[in-house]
Amino acid sequence: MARLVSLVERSRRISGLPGVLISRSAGNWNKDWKPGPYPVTPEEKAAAARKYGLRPDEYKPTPDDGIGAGDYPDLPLVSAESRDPYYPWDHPEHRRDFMEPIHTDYDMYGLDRYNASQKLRFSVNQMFMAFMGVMTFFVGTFFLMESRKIHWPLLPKQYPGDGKVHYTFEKPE
Amino acid sequence: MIWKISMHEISMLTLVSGSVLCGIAGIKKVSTGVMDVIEWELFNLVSSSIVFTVILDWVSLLFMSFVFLISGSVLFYSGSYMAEDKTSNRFMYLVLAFVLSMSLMVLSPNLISILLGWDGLGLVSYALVIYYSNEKSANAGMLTILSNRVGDVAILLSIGLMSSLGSWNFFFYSYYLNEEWVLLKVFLMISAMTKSAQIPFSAWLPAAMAAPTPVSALVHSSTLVTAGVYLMIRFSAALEGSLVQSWLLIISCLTMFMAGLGANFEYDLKKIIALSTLSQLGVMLSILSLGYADLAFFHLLSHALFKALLFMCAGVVIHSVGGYQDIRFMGNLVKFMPLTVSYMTISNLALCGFPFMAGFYSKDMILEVAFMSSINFIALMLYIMATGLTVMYTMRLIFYSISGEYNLGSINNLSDEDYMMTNSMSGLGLGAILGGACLGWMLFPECYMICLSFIMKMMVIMVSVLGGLIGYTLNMMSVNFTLKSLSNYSLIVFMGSMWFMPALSTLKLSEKSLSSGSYVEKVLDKGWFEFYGGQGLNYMFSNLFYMLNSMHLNSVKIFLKVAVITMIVFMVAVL
Repeated sequence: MARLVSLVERSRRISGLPGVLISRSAGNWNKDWKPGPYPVTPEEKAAAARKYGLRPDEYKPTPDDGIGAGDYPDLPLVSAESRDPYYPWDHPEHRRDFMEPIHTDYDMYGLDRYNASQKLRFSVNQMFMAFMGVMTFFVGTFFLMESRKIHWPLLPKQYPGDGKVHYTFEKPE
Repeated sequence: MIWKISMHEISMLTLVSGSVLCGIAGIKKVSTGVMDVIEWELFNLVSSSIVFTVILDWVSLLFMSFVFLISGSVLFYSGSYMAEDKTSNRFMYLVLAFVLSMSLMVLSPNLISILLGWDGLGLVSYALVIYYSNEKSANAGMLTILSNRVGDVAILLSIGLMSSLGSWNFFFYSYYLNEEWVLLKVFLMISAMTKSAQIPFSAWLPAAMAAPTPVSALVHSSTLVTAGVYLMIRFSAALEGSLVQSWLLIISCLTMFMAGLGANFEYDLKKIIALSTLSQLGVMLSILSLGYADLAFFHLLSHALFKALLFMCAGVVIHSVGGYQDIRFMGNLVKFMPLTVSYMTISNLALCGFPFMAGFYSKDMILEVAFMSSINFIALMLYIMATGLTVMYTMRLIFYSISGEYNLGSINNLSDEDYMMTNSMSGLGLGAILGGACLGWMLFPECYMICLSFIMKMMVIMVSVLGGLIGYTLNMMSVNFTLKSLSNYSLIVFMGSMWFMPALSTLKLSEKSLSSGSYVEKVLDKGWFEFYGGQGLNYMFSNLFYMLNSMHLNSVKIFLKVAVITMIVFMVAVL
């Protein structure tokens, strides 16, 4: 018990230092942030659109698949890296405007994360087939030729000539 | 008189002194063949003792000597390159921590202490790559550390497998690892492949060029990336005659070829040099997989010299042109920066294997020994093509940056005036000229007997000359030229983007991992764990304490009720 108290005392002393987090509370979330129930009627949808700062025609609720998104809008997936880098965003480090509704998986599509909306010159399947095709060709040919390795001659080739006997091709005893 | 000695000067002096000492000791060990083993018993538990061992043989001492020399030069160079940075001291400490990790890895005779240095290398290289705090560096650092982490896991697994031998000391056991130990060899190969950025783990090396140029010069050219080669050199006896050797050969040859091809289509100066490093790492691992670990070590050392020099020259050029790294915005630098361009040319020629430069002795011997051995046809073709591609991208780089047309603005600050940067390159410049010869005479007192036909002997020179001509002349473009490459743009994109491998190893893999992580977070972390954990317990205890509190506030009534019920129960029990 005394050790616990002294530990708490010591941790309190260093808790003021920057970057030191002794404990964290589970209370960083509150009920006001909880999305409302899945909207069914047009009035509920309009109210939800107003709540999230969207027009009613651009509001589409997240499908009710049991995850618990409620009336949170199903926003188009545009990663931060795909957004215009030259537009004067309110938050340029996130490429987002003030109070702009964010995707459910917003933390997954930031500038330091995955770019899900990039336009690829070739599809992933095409890239995979090209890479595997080249690798399969080289690796396959390599292992095919493993039993047919090159043995370079180290002496000049011996050609037959008049009166020349190189060896008589007798079978070994 | 008080002399003010800055951190970069004291670090340079210390490290260069250490390099000289290690070099002298290493030369002595080469001549005598003696190995010193220093053991410290850390603690003893009944009959088991935990011992920390340091091995001082010619391999470790020579490697340490080169690491100290390059890191000393880089630290002195950083004194000027990072002078405008507010946290340059932190940078120096990180580099010194890197050197410490490298020393720990190189001087270790067993896998456990190699792991300490190996993990330290990965961690410190991550801290160095993310040094410039922007998204590009953050992404590059994440790519670097996660790729290296795969290798760390592979080494951990190999430690687990090797524990059944009773020791992790490769000096005792690498000769006795027969075909039953194929899984151990596979894991060791995977760890070497991740560190040395072989296919399919090559994505991190070009991305790591987001780090400051001194980091690239030390870490990504000569020390960190050669850690994998060093591990394979130490375990080379275990690889002989196994299937793992064949796999290592084809993978390293393909890496050599792919990187050489990619460097010919790249326009970022540092990325070209990074791909060049990747290609040379493929050369080292391929000759090692053919059974010539001593040649791999020779090329490792000579390559470290001229590649670090090349990166340092690139740093001077980048500083002078105002931060641009695109070679299309450089040109005719020979007129403005003759000394830097001289060093750059020396290192480029050494890289090409120009006769009697440092690279010539190692690279030429590697090629001749490879051609002489019973080699697979595909490996032979890849060796020849990669040699030509090396000269091609080198001459392309020379054309674009040094000798071609001037593409910069009319006002520029191109000069050689920074004595710190140019002086730091002088030692490596000397090494890039003489290092190969000195190392060759020292490591191979009895030369390899090369017996090749005329055509095979001339093959290297022919391919180099052809590659040089193509690389230099093919990039001479004018605005009225028709670009043939535009009609085959898909092929150009394929060849120039490392065969789509970086995209493939990051796209679907990271998407699936993040999606499944997000799903697990929603269902478990924010779902059931909160229901039965934080929020759920909070709710339950709140309700319970509310109930107890209401009972406490209305305590008189509760006490009377409890007292009456207790009396009734007591009377019933007694009666």
